[in-house]
Amino acid sequence: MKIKNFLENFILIAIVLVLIQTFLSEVSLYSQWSISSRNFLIYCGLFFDFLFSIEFTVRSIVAGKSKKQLFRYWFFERGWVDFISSFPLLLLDSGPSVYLLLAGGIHESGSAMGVLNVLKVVKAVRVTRILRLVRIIKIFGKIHNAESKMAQHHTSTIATTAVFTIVCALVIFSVFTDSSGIEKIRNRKSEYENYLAGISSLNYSSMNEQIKTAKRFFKRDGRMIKLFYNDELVLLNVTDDRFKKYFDMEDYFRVKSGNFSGYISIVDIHRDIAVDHIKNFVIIVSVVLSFMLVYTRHFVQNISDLIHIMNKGFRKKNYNLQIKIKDEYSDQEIYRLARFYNDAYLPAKMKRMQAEKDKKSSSLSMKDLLSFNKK
Amino acid sequence: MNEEDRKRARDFVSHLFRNPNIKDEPPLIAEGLLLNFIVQNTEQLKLTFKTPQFFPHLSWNEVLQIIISDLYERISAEVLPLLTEFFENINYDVLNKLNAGSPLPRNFQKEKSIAFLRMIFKNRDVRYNLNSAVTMLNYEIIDKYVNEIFEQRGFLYNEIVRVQRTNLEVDEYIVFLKILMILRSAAFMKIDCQTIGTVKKIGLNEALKMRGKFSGFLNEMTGYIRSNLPNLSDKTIRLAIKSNLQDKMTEVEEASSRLLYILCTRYHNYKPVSRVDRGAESPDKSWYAIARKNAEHYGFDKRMLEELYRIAGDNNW
Repeated sequence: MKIKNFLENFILIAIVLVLIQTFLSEVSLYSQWSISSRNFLIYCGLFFDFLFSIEFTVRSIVAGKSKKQLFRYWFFERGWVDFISSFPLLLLDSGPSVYLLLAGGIHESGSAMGVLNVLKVVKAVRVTRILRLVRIIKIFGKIHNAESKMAQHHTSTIATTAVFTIVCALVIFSVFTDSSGIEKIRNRKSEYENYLAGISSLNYSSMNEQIKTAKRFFKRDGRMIKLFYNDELVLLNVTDDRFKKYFDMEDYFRVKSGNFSGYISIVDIHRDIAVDHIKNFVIIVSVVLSFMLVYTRHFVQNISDLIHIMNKGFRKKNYNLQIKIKDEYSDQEIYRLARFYNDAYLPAKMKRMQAEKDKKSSSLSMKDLLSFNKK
Repeated sequence: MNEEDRKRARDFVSHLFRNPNIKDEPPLIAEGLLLNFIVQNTEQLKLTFKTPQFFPHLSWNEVLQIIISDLYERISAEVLPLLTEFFENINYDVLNKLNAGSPLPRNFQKEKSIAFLRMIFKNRDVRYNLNSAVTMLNYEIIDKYVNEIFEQRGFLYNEIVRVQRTNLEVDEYIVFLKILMILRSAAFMKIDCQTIGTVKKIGLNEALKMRGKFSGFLNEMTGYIRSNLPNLSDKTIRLAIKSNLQDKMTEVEEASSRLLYILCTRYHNYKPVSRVDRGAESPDKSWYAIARKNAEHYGFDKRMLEELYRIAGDNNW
């Protein structure tokens, strides 16, 4: 039991940490943190995806002892949430990211290019990132902010429904819109190819004049990181130190036209996508928090507390506290039942209890004597 | 009957007191339940107590005596000090004020009161009915309700001060009601009532079952108490005795009896609630609300219940 509690608490902490990691990884893209910081967050992502995949596997194995238990885990204990937020993310998001990171040094070597290109495509389809938001649902099963099991169950069901509906809508949007920025990157690429082609096609008296024109054109262009003429660096808008520290291979692409080639930044495109993701994250966290704090309180105060008091009143001999009836809800079924409990059941119970007490009938029996005998 | 028997009786009674159905009850109620258990199971107990584990060499009467005396020792040690302490410390001027005769010395009144208390406490029906008084003393119920009644000056104030014509200050009224609530249980003593034609000694319960005899019993009981407590007026004693009766058996000017009848019923089986569940009314407010529905059945004064309900609600009692 102690080990189980420890593991459950460990998973709870992991869920909180992974939500922070998810948020920070988007912030890191928006603020263009250093490569090392972003890489650290990618490794963290892999760790958590791996951890939750193990969690899902263990829970499935434990529940899988019987079909009934497995069904219960999968559908009533949010096994499906555990699944969606574990293996797909490990295989389609953090796994490829880390692989690309580790293979970064050799990616130009040619042999790994085929695999890397596939992974890049997988990674580019950022639909899977949205699935990370599903993890917010997991926290509902862990944090019991209400004593009532009924309140926990119903509020988490409604929160799960809301969050999953939002995530599904986001996934559909991401499939049918350019949520990964692929189109924007393609447009940018052709835009800069056209620029370079245009500059190359003009008539110049000398090579220097051609380079001078290109430099003048791209000098104030923040997207042009480096400009080469016949592979010789002619313009540097970002210092080498800054380039090494803040730009990884995902942050730019290379274009070539005529004698010119250049590194074009797509940091701003990533930043826009990150803003969208942060927005989605905040919306979902807000929805969950509002259900946890506002709706749970409402449910507890107006449903489960009433049932809890009635249940105690029905079962416990000496429990005779009335239920507070709120006038504004007094026409609702639960309050009508509560009024019946207050006005009919408790007075009848009081009469019955009084009759028993008048007889001074105790619950003692001869068995109590026999238990003394045994001592 | 030797020391070994007494020790065994002590262990046996302790064992019964530890029973889950008894252990949470107040001592006086627990004693009543245990005695009733003995009465209801006499035949079986006679056989059981003859077994070697109990008292094989004692007669049934000897066993009863040893158990009952052990019970009495426990209960009196636990409850009596609280009641005697009350009579040692109260202001007896209240009684002088209500008694038409010349004022009696404090020490005389104190000694008489304590002696009377010790006498009535030996009666087990009196002890059982004293529980509400003990509870109300413990939790200072009279103090808080009377203070509130005098503060609000509503229906209850009008009834107990103006209609009853008891012109006492709030502190005096608290003492007065506390005396009544202890004294009321004396009505369960069984006394000779030859003037009303009964052969056996009778107490309140028996008198209520005898048609047309109650008023005679009331006079006899008043006289009996008066002979023991000359510091009390007849009116005070009657108020105390009648606080055991339903409101229809009281006169208009006996409001203290009706109030005490409600409070004593409320606190006879009172168990403090450590934590009121969220969404539930407070314990006193709940009780008075339920009692309002049963007012006719129990013979409570409904208007008094209304005000007590309101006071409990205002103070979250």
